[in-house]
Amino acid sequence: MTRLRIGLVLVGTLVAIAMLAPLLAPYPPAAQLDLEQLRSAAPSWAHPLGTDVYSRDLFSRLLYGARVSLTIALLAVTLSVGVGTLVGLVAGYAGGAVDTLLMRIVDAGLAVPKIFVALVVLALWENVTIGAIVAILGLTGWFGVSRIVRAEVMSTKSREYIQAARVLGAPPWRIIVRHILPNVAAPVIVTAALGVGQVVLVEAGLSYLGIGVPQPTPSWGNIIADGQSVLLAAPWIATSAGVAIIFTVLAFSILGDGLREHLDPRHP
Amino acid sequence: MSQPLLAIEGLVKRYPVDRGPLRKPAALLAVDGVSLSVTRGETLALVGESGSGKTTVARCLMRLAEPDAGRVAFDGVDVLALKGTALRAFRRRMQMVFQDPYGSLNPRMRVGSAVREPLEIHGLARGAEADERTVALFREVGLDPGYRKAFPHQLSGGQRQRVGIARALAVEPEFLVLDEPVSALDVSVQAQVLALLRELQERRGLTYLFIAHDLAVVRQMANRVAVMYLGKIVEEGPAERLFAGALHPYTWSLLSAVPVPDPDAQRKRIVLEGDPPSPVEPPPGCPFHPRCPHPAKDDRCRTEAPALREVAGSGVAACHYAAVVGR
Amino acid sequence: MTPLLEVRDLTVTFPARDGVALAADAVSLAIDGGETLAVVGESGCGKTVTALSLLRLLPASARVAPQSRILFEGADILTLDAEALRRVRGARMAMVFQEPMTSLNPVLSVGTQLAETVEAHEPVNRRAALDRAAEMLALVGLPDPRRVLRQYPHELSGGMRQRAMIAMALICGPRLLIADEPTTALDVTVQAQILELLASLRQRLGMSLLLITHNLGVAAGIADRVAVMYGGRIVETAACRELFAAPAHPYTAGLLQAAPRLDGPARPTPAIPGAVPPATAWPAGCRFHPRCPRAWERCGREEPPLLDAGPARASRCWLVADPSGGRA
Repeated sequence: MTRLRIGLVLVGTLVAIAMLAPLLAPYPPAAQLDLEQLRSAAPSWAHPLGTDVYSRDLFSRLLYGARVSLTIALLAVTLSVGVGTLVGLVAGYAGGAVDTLLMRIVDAGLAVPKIFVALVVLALWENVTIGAIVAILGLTGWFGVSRIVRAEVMSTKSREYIQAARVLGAPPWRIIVRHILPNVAAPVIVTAALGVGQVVLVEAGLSYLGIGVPQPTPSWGNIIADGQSVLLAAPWIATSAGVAIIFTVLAFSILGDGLREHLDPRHP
Repeated sequence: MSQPLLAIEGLVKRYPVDRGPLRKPAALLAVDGVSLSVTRGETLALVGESGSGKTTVARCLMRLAEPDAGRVAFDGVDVLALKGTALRAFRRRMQMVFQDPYGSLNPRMRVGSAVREPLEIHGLARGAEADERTVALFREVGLDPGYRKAFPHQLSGGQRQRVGIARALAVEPEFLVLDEPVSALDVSVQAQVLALLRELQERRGLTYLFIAHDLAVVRQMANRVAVMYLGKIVEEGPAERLFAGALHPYTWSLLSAVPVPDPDAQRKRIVLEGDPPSPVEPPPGCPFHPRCPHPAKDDRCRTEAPALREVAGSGVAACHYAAVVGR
Repeated sequence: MTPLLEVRDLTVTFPARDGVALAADAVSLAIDGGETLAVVGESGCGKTVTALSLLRLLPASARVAPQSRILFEGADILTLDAEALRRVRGARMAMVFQEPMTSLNPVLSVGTQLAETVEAHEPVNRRAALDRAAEMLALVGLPDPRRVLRQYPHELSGGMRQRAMIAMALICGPRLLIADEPTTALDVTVQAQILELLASLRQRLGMSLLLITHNLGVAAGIADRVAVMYGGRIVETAACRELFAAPAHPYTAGLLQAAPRLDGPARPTPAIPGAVPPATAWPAGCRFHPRCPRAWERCGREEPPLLDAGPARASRCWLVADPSGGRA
């Protein structure tokens, strides 16, 4: 089984779970089922992963959490890759002053630690929404992508088929879209796949700290936060979410590596 | 005598050479005052080794690089002054076939789309009509139209080069610049592609500027030959005459260096001493003098750069002692 | 007299996306001491794979069939242990490659690389090794050898780098030098210099030369014997003069006709029709038959073995057995 196939299967499963959460979850994720009997109940047939301190079914929360965490990660990565690719294409193809200006902005962006910015902005924000988290994570994550894209564009620019396109009279937009973009897509796709795993981790961290996804919406990060106080008494709370995160990051890592192998050397 | 289709005068192209942070960049004179003309329907071969400047001349002609000085006139039109839509329109008259059949095709584009693209760019055909014309072009270059859906890496070197030719022909040009079109191909395939080029020239009335370093190939294709060394033309003349007896000592050595598939060939080989000099610091006087095997070489060669001069009706050569040397 | 190098039934395959590529198929050849053999062929014929096998330089994915033998100075290269192989490489059998820039280490000076080669095989100190290196550089015609010792590969021109590579290959006095397209990447005037250098060196050092090339002119200028390869097989072997005067195999004849030449009348050269088939699907019968102007029914049915075509001549063609083939 190639790495790519394994990665696709794992990620595919995750995405399917996330999409089917409403069908798979036995209970609504925020429902506090029985504050008297079912607080921090151990796993049982009725509740395969037990319940948390507010008697919410953990299995359901985990499933919905998958939805939330994956959605945030995928949207944020799409945003960073979109912006980064655009900037990289323009800087790489135009060169000169435009390139210098854009790259200095990128340098500044890379110098600022992403987590700090996210922390500060989200901590000061009044009502954090999923959209806000996506925006923050997306807009702090495009700098690296733009560098990669710019490097690819610059090396592609001097290839003979680009010169051939110029000789044929193709206008710059056409050269960028039809000739350069498809050939720089490969490293971008790989970076994107690996990036999803990274963003899941960051978002989990922010949610754990309480400044990410707001309760009662479940996110793996805030489930861990919930479980932290009862870690010894009810370890399944924090552990299940932790394992979910590990599994997800691993799945996207394998996918990213698989894509890299598949896309790079074979296709010339 | 009719006006030449292409007239190049005094073309100069310099590249700055970085010599480290403490020194001013030097100027590499890639093309140093080249003048050429090509009449309609003929094939002019531009020959030289690496560093001669022949590829740079081609790039300047096609406006891939901007020359620092000189004039280029195509059918009376000042090529170097063209911009925007006028430049794009001009591209329909003069096209280029590249050396590397692999590198000159977009690896992620099907070859049929690559041949079709110029039709779309210039609005020459759309949809079904574009398809028909693509099929016709494939047939014309000897490729089965079924290959339209293939990617470059699925084709052989010879097939890729045919695709490159078809692509250049799509806009129905009058003039083709062929930059070492067969150098990267095997011998048996070379012969096929050269035959195709000759056939196309006849059928479409094309004019060729054929750039090459392989004189044996040039001999099959060219009506006239111009030899370049260190950015200058050192000899020019009709092909038959040049191959029968060259005027310039560099041409003698080039001809003599080409290996001939005949073990008994008793040729006195002129093997040059030393390596081609760096174009960044050309020697004073005649640029060829350090390696020149001419028996009459003297101090004048060391100090005075020879001008390109007419030699007794045989052509032009840049040598103080140009003389026909029979093979 | 036993030949210096004898290759028997060398068969090399590579896994490919759509099957198995048979790159070299039962290749057999021999080189005597002091002899120059040119192996000529176009891309995909198997000549480079054959050359790389001689020093076991094939990539890991290559599979050498168990019946293959490469006998050099009495030992089978394919079965030597790592240490014995190391002692052969560089000291007894050496190789020069096509692209000198990628075969020289760009971060080490020329002197260091040459000295290391000596030190790997002989018990000398660095200073003595460098002296040998300087001698060798002078022998290959590099001016100011002491200076070149200190230079790095990128500071040298293409021709000089190739000379440095040759110096490195010959510094321990190997009996056999394998040169894989040593001049293809060079300008034609430099090519002539390098070929002249190789010819004079083999004379002075009394070594054998195995030259791999696609250029018939290069082979004609330097070889004693020539072997032509097509489709992973040797299709003709002969003494140089005889091969060029009267090729026995239609492929050799086709190549000679197709090659553009400076001598003779300036006619356009006839091409060999068709193209080389992929190594994963050689045609049945004679591998060249689909493109051969003389092919007849037997050629598509049965692959010819190497048939004796005269003293020290062989051709893998049914025309040797049946000169009127197909015309009867």
